[in-house]
Amino acid sequence: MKNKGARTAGYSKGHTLVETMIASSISIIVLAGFFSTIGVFQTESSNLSLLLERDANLWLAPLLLSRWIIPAGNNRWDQAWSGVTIDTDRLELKSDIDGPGGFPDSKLSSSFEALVLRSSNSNLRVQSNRGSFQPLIKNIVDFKVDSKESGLLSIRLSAVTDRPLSMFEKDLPESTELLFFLRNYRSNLFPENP
Amino acid sequence: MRARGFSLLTSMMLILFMISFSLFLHLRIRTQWQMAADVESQLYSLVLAENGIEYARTLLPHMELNLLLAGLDGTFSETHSSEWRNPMSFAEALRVDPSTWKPPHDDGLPFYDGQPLLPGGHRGAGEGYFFLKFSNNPEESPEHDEDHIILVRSMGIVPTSAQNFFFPHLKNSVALLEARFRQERAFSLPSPLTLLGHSGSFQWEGAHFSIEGKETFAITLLSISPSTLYTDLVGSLSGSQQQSIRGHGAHPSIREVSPQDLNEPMAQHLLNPGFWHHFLVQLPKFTDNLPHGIVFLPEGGVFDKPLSGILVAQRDLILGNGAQIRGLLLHLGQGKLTLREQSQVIGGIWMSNFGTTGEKLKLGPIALQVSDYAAIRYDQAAIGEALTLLPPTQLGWRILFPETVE
Repeated sequence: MKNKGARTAGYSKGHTLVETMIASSISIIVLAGFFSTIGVFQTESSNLSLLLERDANLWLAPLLLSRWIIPAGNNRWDQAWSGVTIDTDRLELKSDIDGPGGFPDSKLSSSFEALVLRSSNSNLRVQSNRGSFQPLIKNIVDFKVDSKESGLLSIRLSAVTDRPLSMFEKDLPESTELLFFLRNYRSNLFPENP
Repeated sequence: MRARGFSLLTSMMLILFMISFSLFLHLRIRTQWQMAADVESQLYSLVLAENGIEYARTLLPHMELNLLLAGLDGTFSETHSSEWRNPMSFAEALRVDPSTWKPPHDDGLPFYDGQPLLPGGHRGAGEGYFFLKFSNNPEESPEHDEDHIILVRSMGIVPTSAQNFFFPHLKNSVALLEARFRQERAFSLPSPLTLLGHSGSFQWEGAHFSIEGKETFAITLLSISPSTLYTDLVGSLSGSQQQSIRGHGAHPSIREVSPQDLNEPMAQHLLNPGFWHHFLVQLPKFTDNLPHGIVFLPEGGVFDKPLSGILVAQRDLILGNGAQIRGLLLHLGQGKLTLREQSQVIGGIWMSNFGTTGEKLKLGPIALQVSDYAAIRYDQAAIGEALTLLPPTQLGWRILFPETVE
């Protein structure tokens, strides 16, 4: 009975050790699988986040730019300036939007009445009146402006991710072309200031 | 017994967690959906407001501006609110149900034949509406127009589609645009035949032609520099032919005036070479070949069909026997205008010869040949109908925001 008990106790100890080793191995395998899955998931999430940020910046551009570009040239009949001046990577917009009385006052002194847009250091930058260039939208590496026909402005934007994506080693640029119809430059049969 | 209680508690907590998680996901998805929908509806409200401006552009040539400012009831009633030029205030537009909203008065609201044209705004595709209001330009008094310049504000409203217990703060999407237009009345001719030149070559065949001014003079000569136009004209008429030029109780009914004496202030534009240069450059974009419209013949030729509208011609132009023009005939530059026997112009003719370059007006000779039985009859209504074909000149276009609107 004693011997039987000792054998049983020895068997139990060995059994427990084996079980523990098996459990540990399985745990390691499970944890390794878990963390490798999490790692892949996190990498993909990070990549998606970078792409989403790039696209969000690219999509934000039309919403912000349209507010300033469409009214360009407003009230130009009352002043001797060009509402839209195009350089290949620089766009100057002038629009007498309002004055102290709420109406165009024939001065380009209010905020956003004289704007310059250009891209530098992966940022689309804007200058209002005599201020300095301020970053407007990040990740914009290319900003090309063209006027294909009178009253129609074409802007080509390219955006890149903040850093190369994991496993891609590239910035994955994305481009879009925006066409703006300039409402103040539609053809008039009669001169605006005869 | 304890095990049963534990299971129940665990189940309840699990269910509570699942409900909370579902609610969280629902709100998150709903918020993102709402943000996307807001961007879309805001863009749609801008498109609707733009539609309103285009609608106003088509209406304007047909409107008498002082009647439009006063509205259907004929009385101008308000400038009290700081946003009186808007169809409604921004604050109201953000909360209003556009399908039931009615304007508080009719000032600046377009009407036709005694009926308002947009009594409750105009519904676009979907749930959006636009509302219009005209007002006089700030350089003049609000109730009386003289310069033919007017402002129109168009408000696009897209009602929110998701306002409920969870989103009580949601507002309508609103866009407000303003355009500044000038009605074109420079071609409101004072006579059936209005001439501008330094001399003239006139040929009258027979004595049965007719230049009929009715209440006004039959021929108006615009005098801006030493000119032999009057003597050339009178000298070319025989005694019986003078009887064919009638109007204002005179025979021949001819007057020579300076441009400053004309009733229409915009007629001064006709003396500006830059005005004509711009007009002739842009004209091909606005012409058509329909029986009702604006026809441009830069090389002249023979015009031999009915037209209700405006005929603009340069060089030698012959109105054939089939030419029945109701409206305006503008003959510009060098070249001769010939009216054949059965040709008829009901409305008015403008003839001038001067260069369209440079700033100073340099007049040249004009040439007119009128055959027997040809007729030119003054008709203000016909001229007015022709003027409605001229698009208003857009002087400005801007987006207004709550922080800048006044």
